[in-house]
Amino acid sequence: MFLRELLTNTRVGRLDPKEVPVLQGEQPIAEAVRQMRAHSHGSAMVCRDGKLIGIFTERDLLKLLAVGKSLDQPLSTVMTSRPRTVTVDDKMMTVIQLMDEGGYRRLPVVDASGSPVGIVDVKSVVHFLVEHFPKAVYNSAPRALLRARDREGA
Amino acid sequence: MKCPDCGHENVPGADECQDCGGSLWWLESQGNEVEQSITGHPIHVLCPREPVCVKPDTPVRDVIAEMVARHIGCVLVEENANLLGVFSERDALNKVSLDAKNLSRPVVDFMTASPATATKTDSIGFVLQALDLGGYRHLPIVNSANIAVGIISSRDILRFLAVKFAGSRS
Repeated sequence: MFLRELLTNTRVGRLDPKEVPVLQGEQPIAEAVRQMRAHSHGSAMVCRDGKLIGIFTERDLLKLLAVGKSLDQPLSTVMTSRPRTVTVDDKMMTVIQLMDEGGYRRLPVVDASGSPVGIVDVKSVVHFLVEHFPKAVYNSAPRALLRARDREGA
Repeated sequence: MKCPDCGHENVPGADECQDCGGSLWWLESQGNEVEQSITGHPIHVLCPREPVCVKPDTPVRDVIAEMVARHIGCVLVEENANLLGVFSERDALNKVSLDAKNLSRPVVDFMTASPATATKTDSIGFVLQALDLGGYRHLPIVNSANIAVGIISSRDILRFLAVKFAGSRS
């Protein structure tokens, strides 16, 4: 299978993990939200002594907004602790399996010592696939544009 | 040779479809089954989910509560069945979270208006292109009257490709 080989032979590092805000657990949620807006990214990594201890996402923010909770609380009280991570040497297939079976939309990438490298998300994987099937993707036009609206000469 | 756009059977080697005029010359050079599937299958084979729709004057607090309760990342904003916009988690981050008072305001103030859409007969490749170029995670599927009939996410397509062509669950 061509796609299986591609996903098994390609490593996470090829996806160019995105740089996202890195904060400390004591910092307020509002600061994470401010930095996420500034980075145009939907997540922030939470660290202690340079090691990843949690992740805070726009989904977590949505839950807080739904119940009207203050954004002045420390991040450590609302983050997802000990998130599932990958390394740049893991296979793309692992990322896709985790996203499919674990329901993750984004995965933190860490180095061998547990320090944050970045985030890979569904958009990164979609872009990778588009790059590998350019003919099939970029030659695709919506059908409405392909059908003649009026029969010429009729 | 089957046209990926209208399904018409053309004579082998045809450069363009005799029915819709779409280009066919590149079909023969398509080497693998993934590419053929992306171009040959319309998006409706992935069974787009029924969209959750709200009215434009719904307070954004209620919309967010609905998104949390239903475990969804975006809703469609409609008026008299016309699609006006999309409200997503990203809109909540970028626009609503700036001020707690925003929660009482209507969703129409924060939605992304006139969103990109696809129809159920558009190919998976076309939808992939729209998602990638626009940087979207979701795309509304509309009928010929521009009424939303479904919503597809990049994860739906990823799952389809990974399971069908890479055996990711085996």
